Order: sequence, then C-alpha cells, then structure tokens
Amino acid sequence: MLDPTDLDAHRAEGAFTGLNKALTAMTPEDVIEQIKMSGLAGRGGAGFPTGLKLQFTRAATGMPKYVVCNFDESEPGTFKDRVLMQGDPFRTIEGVILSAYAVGATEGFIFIRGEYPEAAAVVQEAIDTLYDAGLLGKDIMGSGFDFDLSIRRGAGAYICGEETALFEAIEGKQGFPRLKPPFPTTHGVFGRPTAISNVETLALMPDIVRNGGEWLKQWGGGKSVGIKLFCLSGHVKQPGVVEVPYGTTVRDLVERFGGGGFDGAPQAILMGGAAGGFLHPDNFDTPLTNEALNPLGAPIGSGVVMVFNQNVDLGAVLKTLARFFVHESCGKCVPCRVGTVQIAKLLDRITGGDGAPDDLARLESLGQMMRKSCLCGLGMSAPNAMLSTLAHFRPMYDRLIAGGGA
Amino acid sequence: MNVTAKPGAGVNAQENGNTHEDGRYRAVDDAIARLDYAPDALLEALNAAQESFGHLSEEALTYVARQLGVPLSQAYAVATFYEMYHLTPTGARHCLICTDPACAVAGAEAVLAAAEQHAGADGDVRVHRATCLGLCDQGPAALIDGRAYANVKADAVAALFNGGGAARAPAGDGRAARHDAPDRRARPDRPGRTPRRGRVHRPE
Repeated sequence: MLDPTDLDAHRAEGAFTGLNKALTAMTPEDVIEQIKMSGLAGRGGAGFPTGLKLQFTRAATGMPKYVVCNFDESEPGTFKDRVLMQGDPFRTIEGVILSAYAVGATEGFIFIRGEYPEAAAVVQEAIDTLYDAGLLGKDIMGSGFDFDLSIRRGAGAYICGEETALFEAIEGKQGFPRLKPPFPTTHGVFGRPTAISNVETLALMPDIVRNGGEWLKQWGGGKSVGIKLFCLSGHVKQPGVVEVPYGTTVRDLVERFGGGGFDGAPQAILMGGAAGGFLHPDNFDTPLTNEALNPLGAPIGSGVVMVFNQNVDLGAVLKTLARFFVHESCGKCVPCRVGTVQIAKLLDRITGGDGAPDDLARLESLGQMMRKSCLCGLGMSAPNAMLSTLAHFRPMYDRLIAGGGA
Repeated sequence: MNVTAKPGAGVNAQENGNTHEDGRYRAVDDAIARLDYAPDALLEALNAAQESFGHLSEEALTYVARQLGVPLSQAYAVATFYEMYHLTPTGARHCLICTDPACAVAGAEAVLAAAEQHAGADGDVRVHRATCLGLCDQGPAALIDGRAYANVKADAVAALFNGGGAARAPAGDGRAARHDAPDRRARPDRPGRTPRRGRVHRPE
C-alpha cells in the first residue's frame, strides 16, 4: 500500500498522467467530450451527468469560475469518500484540476465536513505537496494553466452536503439552501459559475481522460454506467467499502464481497442512507442499477448498503432516521421544518401502541407532500425511508397498530 | 483581463491588518490573513477560534466579526447554526459518540450512556450525541478531541479518556494514526505559490 501523500510513489503508479495528457494534448472541450462520452454521472446521490455539468459551466458567462469538491459526506452510512481521500488524495485532486481545466476555473475548494479532522490533515498535506511539485498554483506542468486549491471545513451540518447550502458555508454564512434554478453551473459559489462534484466522481475523471471515454462504458449500461463504491455496514460479516460494476445484484454484493455474507437472517437493507429506502429480502436479487432500484424506493444514492437482521426493531430504526431529519432540517422551508416533526410524532405514536389505521394514510400524504414541496433535496428525501416501509413492510405497521405497539 | 476578486475581499486588510495581542489568537489571525480579511473567512476563523479556546466566547466572536467587517449578528448566527460550535466553555475534553443506525445496532447507546456517566464523574469531559461520523463499518464510533476511535466498547470508554488503548483508531488508513493533533494552519507561502485567493492574473 502506498503512503497516501507520497507523490513520487503515486506518480510512479500513473497519477497525474491523465492531467498531463489533458494539458499537453487536449483542449478543455476535448476533456468535456471524453467525460460526456464516458456516461459518468454524479456519485454523491443525485446522479446528474458530469459531462453536461462541465459543459454548462464552461458555457456560462462570468468570471472567475470555480470548481468545488463536495467532501461533506454526511449521509448516515456513507464513508467511501473518507476511505478514498485518506488512502489516495491525489486521485481526487487530479480530478479537481481536470474539472478546473475543462470549465476554465482559476480557483477551487475542497469542502470537508468538520467531523473529518484526520482526513482534512491528509488532504492539506497533499495540497501542500502538489504546490511544491508545481502541480497546483501558477503554470501547472508548464502548460500556462493556473489553478489554486484550498480546503474549507464545515462545522457539523448535514444540510451542507446540499450543494447550494455548501456554497453558503464556503461564503461564511449559515448553511441555508438556495432556491434552484438558477443552478450552480451559472450561479454557484460567490454567485459565479461553479462545477461542483462528489469526491468519488472526481476520482474517476483521471482514468477516463487517460484511457478515453469508452473506458468507463465497459461496465454497466443504460443510466448506470461504470463502477461504483458501496459502503457495506450493519449486519454483514465484513463491513467496508467495495467497488463493483453497476448491475451486480444486491445479494451478490453482500454475499460475495461482505466477507461471508449476511450476519444473521436479513430483515431489510437500507439503501442510499437516511435519504434512501429499505429493500425487502424478496427484492435482494435486484441488480444495482438506478433503473431497477429507483422504482422499489431503494435508490443507490451515495452507495449505502446497511443491513439489518431479524433481531433489529425496524420501527426503532425508522424513528432514529425520523429524529435525524428533525434535527438536521435547517428550518428555512415550512414543509420540511414541520413535516419532519410530524413524521417523527406519527411514528412515535404508532410504535408506542397508540396508532390508528388512518395514521398510515396520514404518513403517506405527508411524505408525498414533502417530496413535492420542499425547497431542497434534504426535505424532498426525508420521507423516503418511511415511504419505502409503507410500500414494502406494511405487515409491520399492521402488527403495530393491531397489537398496540412494539 | 483583471479577474475580479470576490465581493469584499481585502477591503478591511489595510485598516484591520493588526493582529491580536493575545498569542492565543494567532491561529485566528492566520486564518483571517490567509483569506485576505474577506467575509467568507468567517467559518475558517471560527474553526480556528474554537480550536484555540474550546468554545466561542463573546470576545472571540466580536474580534472575528470586527476583523472581517461582518456584523456581529452574522457571526452569532453562524456560530449558532453549526453543530460543532459552542458558545459556552465545553470542558477540556470533547467527545462525540455516533448513534446512527449502523452504530446503534453495534451498541452505540450503551457507549453513549457509559460516556455520559464518565462525564458526570469527570468535570473536564463533555459528551455529545453525533449523527454519523463516517465510520459505519467499524461502529460504534467516537470522536474525542479531534481523534477518531472505532469499535468502541461501553466498558472501555473510561480508558479512552485516560489515553488507554482499549479502542483502536480506524483501520484501513494507517496514516490517520500519525495525525494526533492535526495542525491545520496554513504553512507559510513558498516561492512560486500564488496567493490563496482567486485573484490570479493571467497574461493578456
């Protein structure tokens, strides 16, 4: 294993050859073309096509332009970006520089959540090393391309993973999300055109540029192209980060790569984190693609695969997730501020044995209302886990309501 | 073309270029100077102040706001919005225990109870519940004085505060162990290094 910040060792393994190729033999448009051809989509959860994001930011008027690396990673159950950055910060930073070259940005930020002081220290050391080596700053690799990169640290707010709330934090403000549109590609950080991407997305860009856009397409297909990091946790024999092609089944992922598979008979898998949904064991043979999992209400999202065995009180897990959103709602919009509290209250009532049959219809309409009317992705996805259990774990609710609680 | 700087960048640098006489403010002054006294240095400056003092006193908030030329109300708003800032002294040791579902099924509530019991007996320790510390594969997880601990056992919590080796630092990233006290202050600019702000002047 390489020392995370030993630049020479990483360069011997091919680090920054993609950047060298881009700076010496490709125009920014060529880079965007290769990323578009690769089918790369955002790995942070939303899944927006990265090539289009770069193209829109390049086309936007207004200088300076910025690139931002979203290393906020606050989704419960997600830890892939930390593992990636603490193990190989250069790969992601090379992706940041490539994005900057593609869109014409002169400055970039890596936004790191406050809970990751150790990762922040590794990334800062990597940035300092790259300045010393002429890979950041003025005239990178003698190409005439200038780019400055610095770290900005959060201070404990889940909402800052939302891109516009993250911009507010970088600007030194409270992390309230902004109304979209306008989108970051035209009005991002400091109101300027900004290309913001997740750590894992950026980490794929050097290989795409080095090997060409077709490289990523050898895995997966459709709207789920390439390889994806998954975070195995909960009742798995060996939890950890696993990289597999899209299209592997959920069962294969756990049984082949979870160090021996399920730890106890599985009851459900939380896919995509607190903002995702629960997958029923009947559906474990579903392939890991957005096309197959989204209709089941259990999106891939940021790659959370949190397994719960039969000994877990699923109602208690749901209450934990509901309280999480009550706590993390920023309070800017009413549907989220009030809706998260109402969901938590209803779940408390149902699991406490005081639930009425029409409480389930109430939960359903509350959840649908939030999906349609919340200001940002936090509120829109807050009811997801609850709604997925209403659809696929109905007997649990029926039992709670008929039997007077857990 | 002269690339425009961000709004407010540098406007206070001339008048407020002085630094605080109290040496404990050095990290705060460094953070502010590094970002050219611009309003967007607020979080970085508060992070530095929180690290130096353990909490954000009214004096520290007022100093940061004045140096950056932002209203004290904005500094206060930011200081109360983010979970990791504390307006009152937190004690010498600060501990976050993760209670997200993955850590919960691994026994986080018992760890939290043990930590709170320890804090009750040791006035220097302050314990908070955290949502997710990103160590879901190695739960229950804790963050004590900026250092991450994994696979924490309830009966070994006291040893953590006493520097015991009961719980190990996260595996899989051997480098983490070498950053006991991360020094996040910027290293002095070296030759060839452009200013940290985005005012890079390209040749016409």
